Amino acid sequence: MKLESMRLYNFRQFYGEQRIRFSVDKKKNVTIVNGVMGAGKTSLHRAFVWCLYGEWDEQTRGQIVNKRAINESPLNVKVETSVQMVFTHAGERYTAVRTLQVVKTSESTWQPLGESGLSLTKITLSGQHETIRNAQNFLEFILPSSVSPYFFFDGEQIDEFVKPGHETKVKSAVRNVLRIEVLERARHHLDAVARDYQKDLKSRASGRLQLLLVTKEGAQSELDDAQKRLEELRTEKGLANKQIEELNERLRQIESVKEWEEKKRGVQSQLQSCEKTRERIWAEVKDLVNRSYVQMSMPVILKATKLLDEKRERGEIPPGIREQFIQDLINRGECICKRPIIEGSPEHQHLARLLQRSVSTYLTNAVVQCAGDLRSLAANTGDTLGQIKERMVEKAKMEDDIDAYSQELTDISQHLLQFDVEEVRLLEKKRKDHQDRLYSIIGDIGRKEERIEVLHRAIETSQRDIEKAQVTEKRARRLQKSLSLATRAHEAVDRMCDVFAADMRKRIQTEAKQIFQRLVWKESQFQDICLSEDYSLEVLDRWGLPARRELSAGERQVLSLAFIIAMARVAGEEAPLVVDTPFGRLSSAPRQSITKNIPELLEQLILFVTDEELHKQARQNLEPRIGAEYELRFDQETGSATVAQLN
Amino acid sequence: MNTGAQATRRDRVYCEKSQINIYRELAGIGESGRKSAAGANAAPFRSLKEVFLAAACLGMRTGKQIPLKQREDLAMLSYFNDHQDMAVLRSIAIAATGQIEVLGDVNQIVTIAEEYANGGFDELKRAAWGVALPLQRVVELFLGYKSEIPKVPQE
Amino acid sequence: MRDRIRDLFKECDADVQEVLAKVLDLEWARLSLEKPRGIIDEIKNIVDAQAGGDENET
Repeated sequence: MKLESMRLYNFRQFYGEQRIRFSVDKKKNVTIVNGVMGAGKTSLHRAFVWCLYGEWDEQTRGQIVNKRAINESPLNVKVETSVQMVFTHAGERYTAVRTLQVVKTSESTWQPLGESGLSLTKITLSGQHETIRNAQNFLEFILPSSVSPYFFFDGEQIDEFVKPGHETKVKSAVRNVLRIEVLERARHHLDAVARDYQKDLKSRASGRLQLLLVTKEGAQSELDDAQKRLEELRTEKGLANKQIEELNERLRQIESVKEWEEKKRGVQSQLQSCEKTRERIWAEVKDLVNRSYVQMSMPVILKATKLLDEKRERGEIPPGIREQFIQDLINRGECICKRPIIEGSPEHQHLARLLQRSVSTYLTNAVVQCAGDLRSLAANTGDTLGQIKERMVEKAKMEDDIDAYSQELTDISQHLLQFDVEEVRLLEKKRKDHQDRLYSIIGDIGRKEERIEVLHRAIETSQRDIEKAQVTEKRARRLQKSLSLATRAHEAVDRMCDVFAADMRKRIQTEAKQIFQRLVWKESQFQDICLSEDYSLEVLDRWGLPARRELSAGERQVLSLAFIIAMARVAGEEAPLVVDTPFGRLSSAPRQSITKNIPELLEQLILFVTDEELHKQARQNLEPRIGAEYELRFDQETGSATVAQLN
Repeated sequence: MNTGAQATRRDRVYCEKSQINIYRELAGIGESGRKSAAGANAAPFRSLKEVFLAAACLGMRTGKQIPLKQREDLAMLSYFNDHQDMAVLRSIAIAATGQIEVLGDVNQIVTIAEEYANGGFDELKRAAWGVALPLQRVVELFLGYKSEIPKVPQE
Repeated sequence: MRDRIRDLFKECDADVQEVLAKVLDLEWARLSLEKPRGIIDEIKNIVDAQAGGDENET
């Protein structure tokens, strides 16, 4: 979606008709709308979502209809408010108009005439127009309302995605922008459809098939429960982690404990590093194990090589006698010395025996090749088992280190549990309790996942058996086909749901990292950005530890922005970024960086700014990219705002 | 003896039907291709081919050659690379039969390997199946044989 | 995004792909509705049509 223009009519502070044209130029893709506080910036910004989705909260935002227009209107005459937007999408041009009509019932009151109405028209090149039915649905296709807050957003909310407890917001944003819901709904519905078929089939089936269906149902029911419980456990895990983090934070605030907490952090970092190393070693061991069958086969290889060598020494390879030569002699019935070779004669028998013993050309080649391969294997295999042994020693050492560090952490914890400040003792006890609880939950999660795996396999086996079971009745046969298809489709989506979400998360992570690195203005001590499985948006320091707390306000805002842009890019959304007061809370450095880099990262950027926000350097940065600029002017006398074009 | 044209050339490797589930577990594969809960990471072997090769070697070591009763498809022969995997299978065939002629018969080479894999399977299963950290147990199993392996002068 | 989602199923059987393409389109169209009514029956129609496709029975 690319916005071309907007027309307001009696909308909020804007009396009568006001027009604004957005820059659609590729290079000069920035439109600036200047306005002091109260001039109508926010109203104009909200006009977008009112027009497209009819979203307006009168309680917080006040009435939509322009007050002056109502004031001037006679009683019982309709007053109209509208916002019209012209935009392009996928190569087509559209006009969306939302209209609200009210009627003045007395000098001080007015009534709306029904809900606001939306009309959407496609305009072709030749100037023809075509009304789009189901306008709202169509717009949902182009830019769903659930996603719009990330494209029409309030600069004041810019760090929403990195505030504590942001995971729900992040998760919701990712799911909405990426339409993960589509897959999940499909999964859920296909499952319901399959179960319906199954129920139906069961009522028609008899004997063995019924039994199989009952078994499958039982497993499915248990699976549902297990999955539900798993979700709960994961939530509990997230909660426990959060609680532990909060307690850690509180401990860190206490002066007398700070040093211990720092020490603990250091040890944790070492522990993490050791665990990573241990994982690497284990991966290497696995790789070596998979290659070690060659070395394990060495006695056999040597025995085979010996056999081949013996054959060579006896002149059997390459053959001392050519097969073809002997065959020719037999066929000719005559030796090269002209002696006749008669069938059945001793000479003939001898030659036949030689022919049997000689080795064919194919075999010769195979033997020569094999001998070569075996020799090569024997010489080059190397001591994979020895390497495994070495790695195991390394791993053991790593595990000793891990134990030592774990012990240190336990010691520190013990120390804090006996600290002479009561608050510390209490906090540490709580933290330890939560930690223990966390381990227990993690164990439960592991077990649940395994059980779920077992149940999946049981269900798959059941399904296969069901399909094999003899179904004679015609209708039942058809049901079975449908059941099979629905089941397979469900399985496919089920497999994909998690894969898709994980894949998209990784991409957003990568994209966000690139963008963040571009936008962040100081030599970053932040090594990485991580969007975890539970949708926690985290920045990692050079030790790989979470460092979101160490971000400055400006850096947090930039991270949030990087995330939004990353999402949009991964989703392939061609949508404008329309921001109200983008720099209100930013200090100079992030402002600089954003104004310099953001325009390149987006298709279209529309900024609603106060003059205080956009001064000097920031303005200079944006200047080359500004394709249109407006100013909102508020007339104190009339109480109305107008839109004036500046370039 | 002359080897004429091969009888329908084998293109697949088989295992005993009753073993297939454990083979898959050892390679970290679920029945519909779904990775097992512990993840493919926990499984000791990268793929079914590696399980087979390990089982064949173990069978050879213990001298157990057991013909298959009921075949189950395991892997395509094309997955086995010629100069390493197949070379090992050929050496097994030669050592088992004492004949070099077997090299002309791919079917026989594979069959012999399958029978040794069948024989060696139990040991692998005992070591690795149904235990926590199967990779650990496989390592111990293999290192247990280390002393029996002759050192070959390296080039 | 739609294309990306479609791509996920390229490796499935042809009949599963057919069903999924139609079901996903349907879901996409109804995404804004909290509880899309009748969607189960619509999906059943899709599946039945695909499954019964080669049936020669009446």
